[in-house]
Amino acid sequence: MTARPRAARGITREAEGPRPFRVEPGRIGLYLFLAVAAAFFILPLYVMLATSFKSLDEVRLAQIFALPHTLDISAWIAAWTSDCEPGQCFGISAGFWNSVKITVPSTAISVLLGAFVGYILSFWRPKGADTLFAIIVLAGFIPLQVFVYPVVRAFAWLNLYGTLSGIVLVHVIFSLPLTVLLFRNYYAAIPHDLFQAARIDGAGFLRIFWSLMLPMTGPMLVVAGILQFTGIWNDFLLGLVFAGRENLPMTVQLNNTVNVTFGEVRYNVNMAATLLTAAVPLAAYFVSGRWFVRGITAGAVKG
Amino acid sequence: MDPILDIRNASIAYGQTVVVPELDLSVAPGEFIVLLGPSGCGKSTLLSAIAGLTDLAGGQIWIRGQNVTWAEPKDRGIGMVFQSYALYPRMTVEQNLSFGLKVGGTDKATIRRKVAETAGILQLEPLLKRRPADLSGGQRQRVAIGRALVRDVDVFLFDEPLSNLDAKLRGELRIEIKRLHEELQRTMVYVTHDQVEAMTLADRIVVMKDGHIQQVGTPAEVYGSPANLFVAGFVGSPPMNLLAGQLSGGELALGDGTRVTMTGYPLPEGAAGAAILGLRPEQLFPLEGALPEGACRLDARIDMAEELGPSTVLWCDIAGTRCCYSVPGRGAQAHGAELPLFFYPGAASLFDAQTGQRL
Repeated sequence: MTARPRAARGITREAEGPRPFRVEPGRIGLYLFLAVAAAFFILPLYVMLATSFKSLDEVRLAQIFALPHTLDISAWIAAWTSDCEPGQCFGISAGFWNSVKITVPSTAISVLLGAFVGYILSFWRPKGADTLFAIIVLAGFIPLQVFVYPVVRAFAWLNLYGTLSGIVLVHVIFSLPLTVLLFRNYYAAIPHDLFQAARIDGAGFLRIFWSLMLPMTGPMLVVAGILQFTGIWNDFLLGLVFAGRENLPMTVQLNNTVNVTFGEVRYNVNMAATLLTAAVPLAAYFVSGRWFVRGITAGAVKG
Repeated sequence: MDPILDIRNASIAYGQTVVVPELDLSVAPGEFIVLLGPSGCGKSTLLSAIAGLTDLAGGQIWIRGQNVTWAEPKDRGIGMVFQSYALYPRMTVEQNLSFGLKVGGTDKATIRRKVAETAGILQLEPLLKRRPADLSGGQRQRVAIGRALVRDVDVFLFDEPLSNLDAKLRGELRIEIKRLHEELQRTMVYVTHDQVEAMTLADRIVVMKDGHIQQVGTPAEVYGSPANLFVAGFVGSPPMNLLAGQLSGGELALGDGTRVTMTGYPLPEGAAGAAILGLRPEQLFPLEGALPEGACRLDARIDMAEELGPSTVLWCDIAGTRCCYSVPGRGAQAHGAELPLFFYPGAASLFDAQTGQRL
């Protein structure tokens, strides 16, 4: 038998109604830590934003935490438009459109294909489905760099090297482990009865996917969509290697802009260009994050 | 009449595990067949094999005179109602009902007519525009039944359709399914582990255990003259009283030395040896006055009483075995009271203690 605890905190005869508010040291420490952590992430963003609105003269003052005297958007314009110096253009607007052309089809195809493969592995369970799934997921752990050279050779042979469809195909292939994993596990949670009911109703392979499963996949489509979109947009290596000179994505052009080896480093333009590049995935999170939460709370599988 | 559903020597296996070995079953058109058994007895597996969702390891399945053993589920002329309802969650009730017809390429006017007809039968009209998530359990199950009904199928398959519902709703829907069967006169195969559902719904009950059919018969046959000890113990609540004894010359000697003469029981010639006497709780009755003609007497000591309202179940000790009997209304006896109980041997059951088979 354990002894009765001595006067535990909060156990008093007078206790009635809501608990009185009390400041505890632990709580103060917690908020302090949160404030420091928040500052750690927000300060670089602040410095970038502030610097991007300064003129180059103001940047030279080396007061990086100071607010800009005036809102000078010329650095943003320079970063966006074709800001050409003799022999080379640095503006990243071309890169922006290239990135859109790469990211949108890559995201759409990889998400749909992942859903489709996940659907097959979960419901139709062809012979060796589990082995195949294990191989696909394992392949996701192999560093990308290993594949670069063989894929370059293969694409060159297929005349896909340096083309838009080539880079889209590369992104789709390298995305498959993640998307297949996500969708297979999502579909594994859907009752098998539903699939069998559809079979009895006479729906076939594609019909069950399009009419029944895909409409139930909303939340996972959003999740996979965000992951793929930001992942592909932020990609540097594959874009550099496979896209070809005409289709270089924004990240590669940003690098070209920032890492100039001659002349003066234009910090304000670099900051603006970086923020422009990062703005798109940021916006994707802000816009679809709401849908993401809504999709999860709606409980699409229930019923 | 030719059977509408004929299962011939069917066996079902998952890998090396044989779930149902060599099973034969014929179902007449319009019949309501209930597959009854404890969980894991293969009844749901058999149903899913009839539906074509599980492949047979051997044997054949014939539906309406056609060998459908290798046919796709949709081509078998069956409709199925699942325990989990399995309604399409992103579709309205109307879309749920019409999905099968739409897939089958039925024209829009016909679909509308059939959906309206089905909705009328099942009183689903006010729910047609709703999603499954907005329906109660009972309503969902009615939609699930409707989805099978809307396609003109030969055989309806029900896989424990009521076990997700609460007791009251289960009773209501049970009656509704019975009414539906009487109205439509369609063949129904119904899987359940609930013996009340089996007793009330079935034209014939198929009692299964470990993939083997134990007995096929009307509810009265299965209840009144169970084919073996398993059926005797599984069907009926409270369970059948089983008293062990030695049989010789038409006389049964119980454990405590009580001797009962099995007058009127159709004993086979020369039956003797260890036997078990099976008595339904309502086959035992207390009696004031003279011993009626042909009745046997047992001595019981009352243990406790359960008052159920319309009747009372009394638990007692007979020949060292815990037994129970039921009397209508209130009939509680004092704990420890000793009294004689009577039964008619002609209505009782007698089993071989070794094989468990009915004598």
